[in-house]
Amino acid sequence: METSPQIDTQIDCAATKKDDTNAWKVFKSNKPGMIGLYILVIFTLIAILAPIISPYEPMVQDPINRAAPPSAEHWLGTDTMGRDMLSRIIYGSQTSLFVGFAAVTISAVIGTTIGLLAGYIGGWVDEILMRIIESIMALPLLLLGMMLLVALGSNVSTLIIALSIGLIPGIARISRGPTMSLKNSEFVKAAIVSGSGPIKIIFKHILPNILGAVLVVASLNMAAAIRIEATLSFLGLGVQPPTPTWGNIIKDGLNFMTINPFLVLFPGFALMIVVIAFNLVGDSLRDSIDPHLKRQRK
Amino acid sequence: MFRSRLGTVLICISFIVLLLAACSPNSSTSVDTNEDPNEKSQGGEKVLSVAIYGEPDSLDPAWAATYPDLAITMSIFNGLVRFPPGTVDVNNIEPDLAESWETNDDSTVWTFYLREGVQWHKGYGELTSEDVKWSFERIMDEETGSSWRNDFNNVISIETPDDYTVVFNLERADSAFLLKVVNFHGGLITNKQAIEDAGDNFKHSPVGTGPFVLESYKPQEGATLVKNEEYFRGVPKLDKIRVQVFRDQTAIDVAQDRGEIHLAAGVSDKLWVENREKSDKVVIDYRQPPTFYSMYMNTSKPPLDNILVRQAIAHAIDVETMVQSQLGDKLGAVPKGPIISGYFGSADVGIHEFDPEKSKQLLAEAGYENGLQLDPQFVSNTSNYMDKAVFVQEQLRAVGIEMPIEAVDNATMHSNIRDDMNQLIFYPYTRVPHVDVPLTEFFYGPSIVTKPTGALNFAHYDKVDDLIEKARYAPDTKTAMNLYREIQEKIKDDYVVVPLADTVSPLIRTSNVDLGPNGFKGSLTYFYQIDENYDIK
Repeated sequence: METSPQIDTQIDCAATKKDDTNAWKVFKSNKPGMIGLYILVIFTLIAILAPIISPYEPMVQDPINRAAPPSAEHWLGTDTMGRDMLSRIIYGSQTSLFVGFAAVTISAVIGTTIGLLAGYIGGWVDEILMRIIESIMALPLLLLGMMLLVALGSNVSTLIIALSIGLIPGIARISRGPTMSLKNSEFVKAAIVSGSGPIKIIFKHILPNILGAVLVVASLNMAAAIRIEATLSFLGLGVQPPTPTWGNIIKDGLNFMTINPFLVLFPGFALMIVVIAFNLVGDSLRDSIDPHLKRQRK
Repeated sequence: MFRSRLGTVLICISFIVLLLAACSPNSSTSVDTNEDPNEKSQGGEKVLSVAIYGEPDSLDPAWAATYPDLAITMSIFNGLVRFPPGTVDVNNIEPDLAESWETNDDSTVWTFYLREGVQWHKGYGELTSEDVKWSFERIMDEETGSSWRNDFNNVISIETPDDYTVVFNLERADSAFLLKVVNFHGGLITNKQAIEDAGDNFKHSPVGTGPFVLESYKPQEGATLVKNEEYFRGVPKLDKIRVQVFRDQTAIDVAQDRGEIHLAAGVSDKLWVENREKSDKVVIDYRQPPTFYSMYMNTSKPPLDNILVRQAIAHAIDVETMVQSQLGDKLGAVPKGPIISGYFGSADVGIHEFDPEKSKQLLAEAGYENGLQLDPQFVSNTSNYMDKAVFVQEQLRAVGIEMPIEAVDNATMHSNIRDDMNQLIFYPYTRVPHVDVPLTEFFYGPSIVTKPTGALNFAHYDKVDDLIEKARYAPDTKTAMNLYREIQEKIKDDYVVVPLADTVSPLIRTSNVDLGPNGFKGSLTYFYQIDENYDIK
């Protein structure tokens, strides 16, 4: 099952900060990472410009032209209701990326806050927060999503909530560890002595040091979120018809896969490319931010 | 880093596998031709494999309504009389458990003489008139909550002068009473002792008198039936029937091409039929009588209590294009009225014309010039329902009505629409081919879904109750026909249903299945009726 990718929680934060300027250089030198980044930029543009670039409206049906193969009129053919496949995939990228982005952002904000509080305050606050986080972690993301969607009804906002909840634990844990060690570091002690309050210390001194690690996990979470969204929509639990998302486009085509394989190949291909791209970017980000790995390379 | 790259590689590989699987559906079938698992798969036994899409809800005839239910129960139970297997013709009814029958001059007393020596399955003894009496009284008892109760409103009492004679006393004349007691729905005869013995599990422990006996039932998986050695028409040719639950039509198609599945229901879709016709391993049968697809408008839920809104919806839907594009000539026809056509009493009253401009006008008149937002409607995620719902959704959108769909599994939809949760209800049906039956179930006041006597009146419509009763007891056919026409015109004018399609449903079998002397022209269930004459060649 899907869990957030593990990365080394013992990041040397002081070093990270020092290396910030170099991070981009390292990232740029990583070819797969850059390819991933370009792909994501392209897909983001596609999603944003969907109304302009898509040749048809994604819901408009051409009933006489069902499950048609690619043609000059419909570049990627039509789906089983006679809707233009290219337009549906383009609009589907909107849904898929939006759901993924929203879930990852929400989970990053909440997860980081929980991690910072748990790590900095410690004691019973830490105990309680971490037990909650662990109980969420006990459930696979997909299962959690299915449970919430069945209980709260299938729609985009429930989907985002479900994915956010499922992604919080990874972020919380990745931010809690370094916070605990930074709490006792020299520069935090100095800040306390100079009279800074806890909120200022957490957000001004500790947060910037763990942001890199959070970013790495978040980018990998993005791939997971998009994949789970597609799975849930494929199962008919996520985004409801007629709103296209890659998952439900594949589902629509499934019964007619043997008649016209393009019905599942095109949306599947789009999904695959974007998930791989996020993974490549995530890997590359880690290489450029995590000094341990870098040292090993040298 | 390494771990995550591995994940990426795995995704690639799995996608390539999927791609290959999608592109070569036929390669897998050709490999399997030499090993033929059809026949004598288990120690020389003849096992017929049947695919059903989704799980049965009830194997108790009092509720068994969906095709997975009926695919099983029809081989287990008998009625008093029946249509010859594989046919449905109102004028051709033959003995089943009753050897003969007679009625008095005004058709108010119906006497059935039972076959002697018919044995119940599983050692429940011989069938007697008491069993028949109990079985019908159970359906008629309000407490049972059977879906078919209203079919027997006209029965005052049932008498059993001796062990092999059953007399039905009717309140009013009913010359078509035989149709109520055919081997379908409430007409299937059940055993009191067996149902009591089953306790809470009575919905999944059917005990009948038919050619096959339920051996086991497993939720989510299916059922196994074995031949009834004591069947009164003779020992069945098949040894076993294995009914397997599927949740994916492609899986059924592939299993059938490999010979792992003999009988299955098809998809009422032109694309599916055209594709499956290419396979030489299977034969498609088209089932009569037609199935009628329509969308009921729940008049108890605003804004559909407003006839202007209902008119706007009805005129927004291009039924003809839907029929042509989704069903084609083989499977479908444009409906001829608010109920199914081709039944005794069906009238050609036409459907509402497609006129989106008129729809917009009507909407504006109703106060929705800026568009109308409906609640999410529960729709079964099977393509038979979903394709029609999505088509309707887009047509409504074009005139400014948003109809969100909430896709749920088939059983959930059926339960939710009976709990009155939808504004628009998509529902297909086939019935005994006499309009009284669908009219009573769908448009008769006491059948409103929320009532204790409720059946399938999703529209909460009660404006033709008098006429339905009048027609039912009409002195002659001509009067009845005129009344039925009047009823159908009234239902049309009241805009409570949007007829979507008259269809024959496709059923599909491997070509080595022998369906017996009658072949297959039709069945009341949505499926083959597997009886003692079915065989595997």
